[in-house]
Amino acid sequence: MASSISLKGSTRTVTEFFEYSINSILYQRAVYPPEDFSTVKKYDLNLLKTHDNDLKQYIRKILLQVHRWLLGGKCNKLVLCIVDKDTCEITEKWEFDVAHNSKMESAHQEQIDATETQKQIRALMRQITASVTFLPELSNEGNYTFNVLAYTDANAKVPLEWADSDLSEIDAGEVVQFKNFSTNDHKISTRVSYRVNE
Amino acid sequence: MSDKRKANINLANNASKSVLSLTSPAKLNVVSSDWSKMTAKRSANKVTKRHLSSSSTLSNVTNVVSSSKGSNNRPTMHHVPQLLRRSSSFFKDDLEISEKRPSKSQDSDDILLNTDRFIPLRSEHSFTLSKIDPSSFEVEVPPPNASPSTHLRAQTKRVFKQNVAEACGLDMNQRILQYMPKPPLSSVRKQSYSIGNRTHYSYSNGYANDNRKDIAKLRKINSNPERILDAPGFQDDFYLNLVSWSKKNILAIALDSALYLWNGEIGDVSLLVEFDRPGAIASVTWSDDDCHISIGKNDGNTEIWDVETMSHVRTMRSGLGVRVGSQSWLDTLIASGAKSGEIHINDVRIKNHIVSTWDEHRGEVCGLSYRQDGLQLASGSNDNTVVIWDTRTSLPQHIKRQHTAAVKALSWNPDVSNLLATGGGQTDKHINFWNTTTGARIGSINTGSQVSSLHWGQSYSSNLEQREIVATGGNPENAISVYNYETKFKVAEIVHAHEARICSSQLSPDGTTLATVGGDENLKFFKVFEPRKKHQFGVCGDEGILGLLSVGKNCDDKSKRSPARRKTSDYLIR
Repeated sequence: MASSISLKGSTRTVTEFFEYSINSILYQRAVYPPEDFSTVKKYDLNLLKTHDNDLKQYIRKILLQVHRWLLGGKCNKLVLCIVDKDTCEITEKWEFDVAHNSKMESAHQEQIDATETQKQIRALMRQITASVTFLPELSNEGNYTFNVLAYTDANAKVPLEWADSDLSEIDAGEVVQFKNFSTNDHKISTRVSYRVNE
Repeated sequence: MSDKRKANINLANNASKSVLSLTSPAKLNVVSSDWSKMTAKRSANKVTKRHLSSSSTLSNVTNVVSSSKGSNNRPTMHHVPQLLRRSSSFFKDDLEISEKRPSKSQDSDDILLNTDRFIPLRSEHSFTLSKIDPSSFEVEVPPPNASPSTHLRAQTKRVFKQNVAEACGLDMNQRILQYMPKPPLSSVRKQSYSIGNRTHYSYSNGYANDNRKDIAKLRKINSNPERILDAPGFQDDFYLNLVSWSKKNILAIALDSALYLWNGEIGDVSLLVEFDRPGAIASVTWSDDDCHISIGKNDGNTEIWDVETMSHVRTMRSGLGVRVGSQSWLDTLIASGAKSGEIHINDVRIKNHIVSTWDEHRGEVCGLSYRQDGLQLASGSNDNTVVIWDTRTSLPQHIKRQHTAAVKALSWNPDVSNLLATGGGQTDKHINFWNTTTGARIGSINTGSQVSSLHWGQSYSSNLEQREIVATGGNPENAISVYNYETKFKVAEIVHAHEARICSSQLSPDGTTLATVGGDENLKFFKVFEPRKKHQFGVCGDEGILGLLSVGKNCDDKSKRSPARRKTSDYLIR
């Protein structure tokens, strides 16, 4: 009983993190104009969150489903792709690997403090924000859109809006691994891969 | 030495267990048949080994043995991949035998013998991931002309396979899923680009759309038409679009050179216009406000008529001199497709009505359809291509050449705005589903006959919405077929709905009744879909996603569901 509650809490933390990280990435990479975002205080940081209703609903719908999958332990990866509108090519790929601790051996299952998790998330959000400095500039601003991929088990329930997709790899891209954070039940590792400008 | 053997035996024991867990559910039956072969071979193997030293008469059983016996460079122990030993379940036997003859050379012989099995040498990588070749799991779809019950059987088979896999606790392939709806535009550019106010995102929350228990059901639809009307003089031409049904429940049909209006409420018929030349009409389309009708003619002109006053409003000349076989309205714009392949975008309000000409098709444009929000236009042509146009740039966004015949049937999904279904003609017979954002084909159905029209609809089984698509066909069965979109299986069919091929069809304003017209000069009405229900699950509220996660709040999303139709007074045609 208690474990199921903590699983829910852990999943919430993860979903919440996804919400803020997607918002941050969309802002930092200028997929949406800065006017669409406003500052909110979260994880003791000033983060930017969209106040555009359509976008908010869009992200919410995705995350509601992802949350459902996470609860069932069906989702093991979430990918945010930044796509060039002209060529439909992926220029940047943000990957969030989700490891379910319950699936791993319970031997080394030490309890992780909530404040420790917050600290780790904070460090990760800082890294995402800082990544703008080394990521290649996205030329012709405003010409990018994004899509979201979720890696799920084959037996996961899939709503109509989700359809099978390919791997969407970036050829000859570079990969940067970020810090990890873990909750009692999940371990999230983040990395970004991007196309190198010739 | 003996310790090592024991370890090997353990390995072998483990292997016999792991065979099951490493095998795909789709191959379960294959395994069992292999098993018997294996045991058969095993006994043969024993024989082989006993006579191995004396002669090579049994070498026909094991080719490798004879060849390697002759040569000196025998593969040594470390050449045998670890996995080979682990995955072969009959090592145990071999070891038992080799224990009886404990000599070093014999031991290596045993290993040699193991190499001659037809055990696939898979790399460690593929085993650790325990992935299945997805192609092996593909379900063979029954032939298109099979009856719905055959489809049901195939479907049950698939469900059974899945159940078996689940019972074995197998992890099947992971899926990579993409959220298909297009991300919204940023607020800045939304203002400059939105055409009309048709943009609406409302998706079913599809909680249990794929609840498999509910899929395996046949739909019952009435195979008798609700009503039959005579359509004398109807042109039996695949490339024309001669029927259109307005939201006000008035069906327009062109018979020979005359255009008739049939009122669905009261059932009376009125003649709108009769042209002099026989077969003058090539296409008929209602405007979005349902007050006007545009008539594409054989001479390349498009006439707009007001049905309230039954009067002619204006004539737009394409200047091409060839028939206009397809049209689609978007507010005050009419896209018209000509026989020569050009698509003209006409603005009905201005004098020089052709605002742009899109020349991409090499054959007659026989299907045209604007997406609900007007950002894309799909066109199908006799050159077998489907082009998805970006209406903002007037450039083709995707050109699709998968069809092998003329593409007349085009239908945008009313819920998922970037989901398009297209159907090919006589030599193609396929329905393809496209994600028009990425241009990817996300599904295909072989219908077994030409596809003259497609319409999305829905049915409900135990209160769950099943998204379906209806296709009208031609030879040999002149059937109306209903497919489930999720499973791509045929769930209902009306065979011999017409005596000749079905040329066109239109869905009624309430989305339940299909009006079909065929070469047999009949107009028939079939009830194929259930009326659309209000969706139970709605997402409302504004603050923070987390508030929504715990409680699935219900809210009235009727306003979201009903397409944002414009009022008729929104625009005027001069």
